[in-house]
Amino acid sequence: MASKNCITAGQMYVLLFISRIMLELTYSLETDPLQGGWDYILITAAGIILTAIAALPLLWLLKRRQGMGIIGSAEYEYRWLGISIAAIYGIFFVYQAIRSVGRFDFFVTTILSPNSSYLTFSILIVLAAVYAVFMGLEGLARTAGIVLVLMTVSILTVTLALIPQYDLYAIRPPISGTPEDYMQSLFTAFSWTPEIAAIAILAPKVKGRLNKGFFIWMGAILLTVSLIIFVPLAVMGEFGANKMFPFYIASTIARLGSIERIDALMVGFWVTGMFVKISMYMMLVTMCFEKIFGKKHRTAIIIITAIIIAGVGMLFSSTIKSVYAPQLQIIEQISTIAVILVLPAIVLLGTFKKKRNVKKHE
Amino acid sequence: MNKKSILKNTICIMLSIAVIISMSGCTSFNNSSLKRLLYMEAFGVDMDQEKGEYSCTTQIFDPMMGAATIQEQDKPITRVIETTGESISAAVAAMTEQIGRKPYYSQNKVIVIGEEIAKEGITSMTDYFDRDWETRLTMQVLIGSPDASGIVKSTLGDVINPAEELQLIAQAGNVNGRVPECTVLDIKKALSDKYTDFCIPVVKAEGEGEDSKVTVESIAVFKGDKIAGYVPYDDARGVLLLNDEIEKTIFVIKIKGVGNASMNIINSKTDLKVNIENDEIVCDVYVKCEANIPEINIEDDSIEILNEIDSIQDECEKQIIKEMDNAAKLTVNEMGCDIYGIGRRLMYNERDYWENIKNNWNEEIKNVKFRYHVEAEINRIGETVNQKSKQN
Repeated sequence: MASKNCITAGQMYVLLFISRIMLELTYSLETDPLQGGWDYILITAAGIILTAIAALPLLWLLKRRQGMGIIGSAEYEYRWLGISIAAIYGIFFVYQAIRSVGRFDFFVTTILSPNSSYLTFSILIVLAAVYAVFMGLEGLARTAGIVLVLMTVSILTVTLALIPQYDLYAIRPPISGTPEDYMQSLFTAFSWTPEIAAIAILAPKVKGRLNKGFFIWMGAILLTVSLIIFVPLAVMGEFGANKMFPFYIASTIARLGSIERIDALMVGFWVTGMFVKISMYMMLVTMCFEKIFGKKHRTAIIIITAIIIAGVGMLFSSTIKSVYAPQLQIIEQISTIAVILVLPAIVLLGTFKKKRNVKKHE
Repeated sequence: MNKKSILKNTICIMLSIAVIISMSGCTSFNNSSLKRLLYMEAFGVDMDQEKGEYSCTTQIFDPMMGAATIQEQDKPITRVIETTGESISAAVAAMTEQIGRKPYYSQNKVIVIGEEIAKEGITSMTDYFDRDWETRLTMQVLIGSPDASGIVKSTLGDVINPAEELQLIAQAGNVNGRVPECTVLDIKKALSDKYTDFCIPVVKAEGEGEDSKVTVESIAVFKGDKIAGYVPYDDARGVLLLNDEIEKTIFVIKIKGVGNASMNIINSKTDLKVNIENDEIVCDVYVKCEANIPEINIEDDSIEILNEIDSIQDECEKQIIKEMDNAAKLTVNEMGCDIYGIGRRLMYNERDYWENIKNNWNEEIKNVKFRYHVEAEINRIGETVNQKSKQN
């Protein structure tokens, strides 16, 4: 039974990698002023590096309080703080799951089957995710291993198949934006790796060295995300930056000999990636709320979370305005900064205070 | 069985049922089984000036329309529907008024744009071809002269699938080196970039029934989204050479005192380097090509072909330069169109200079100077060494 809820550091980073890449594959913010040029690739890379730096307090905390995670560490200081942290992270993951379901719905009903009901896709993906949550963390991590292979194959296939069509002159040269453009893009890019918050919760269930894997994971994200942005730009130029899902559109152009419809294969693989992502977030929500309401309410937590995610997720994808609402972007950016930097830093400071108090008593 | 197992099994069964119902092949969510679809094969767009509407001519494959006899199996399997609409999507939807089946666009092979629309501007009419989820960016585009309707209606000598033939004509550049391949992606890419232009082959339909044919007449060069001029078919190869689009082509080289040598280009690579010299934009064109000789018509059979290789190569290089220069003068210096990406190269290589001239690029491009550096090499001369004849 214990093995069902324990994974290695490598498995955890595979889960988080899939989640992060799915965001890139099914999301396009075409309001970004730098899209269409090398600047966008560079600023996204800078955003990832900055996010990695912002995660240092969390990594330090997890090193100081090995096997405890952020909730355990906060609880160790004060019980109320532990519960508050669990609630905040739980709500954050619910929000992320809702946005993921919304984006997935939007992707499917824009590209694959616009006449279909977004309700169908929301319910199907959440039902599958509920099943995965009941199967346990280890089962999901093993599935993620297979999904990682499929996704890597799909991304590399598109990248290599399109090489003859690359036109580097079609990409706007670097340093074409204004300082305001760079600041806006950097702020947006900063909020694109909310998976760091998952490390804070999953840490007690992970065997192995978290810190070493973290930097490899961030490096892999940096490379893959850069590739996902680069390929459509090199093939379609500034027109590619104006498409809703640039990498998917690039896959519709790719050919492998006489095989033309590679995009169908890609979508199949990406759906499995989305399943892993939503399952992971649902599992994180369950882990957070279990701390508050106790393990005996696990089933109820899973079902209520599933209903909320499917229901609200639909609202987030029903109209184009709800998908691209600027308020949501701001909520996303602020909440991500809070869970990957501010809260871990507060709990970390608490650990030093406690150490001082202990020394005083001695 | 405990409660947990029952719940898991229930979820499994529910998911299986959902998958079976929702994803059963072609009879999926849209209720669009194969029989209910109308497969669009070629699509032509003209402007109905009287109504101020788009007039669309569509060649369709109707799976319900089978051949009755063996003789009929040689006849075209497609038919033509004409509709009008205020927008392209409205005209496509209007097809259901004539045949009650849903038009299916993903199989469409060619889009033919009427010359009149192309002269007025194609930005708004091309929107449908990249915005709609069923359309594909890889569809071939042609300009129909004088209209698109005649091209789409042509049975091309009563072939089984005229649209497929039309697609092959649009892609013929990779065999004859004279027809630039143009897809929806090429057009949209150029339209999204205010410094780059594009070109589309112009086709013309002639004859009826078994005598009907479609031929490439010229290349329409676009400035912005309107036709700025035409490159005659005979000069079209220069455009493809400059754009590094030559895969195969045959040059017939005339050498004084020797005769005619056909040079089959099997490999060609063009590199464009743009730089500033004495405050002038100079475009250095480097071409390297390899060729085989499939045919030589010599004037005197005492001529040793192996001794003439160098002169054939030299003449070929001169002809390549001549064709490129004609194309460059016409498209760049006269029309002021940047179909070779000169502006983009300047943007990268001469940033400061570009910043100063970019707002006046439409005029500046007319002053671009071209320099050519061509290397042609003969690899093979076929199975015969010298020609022996009794002609003299």
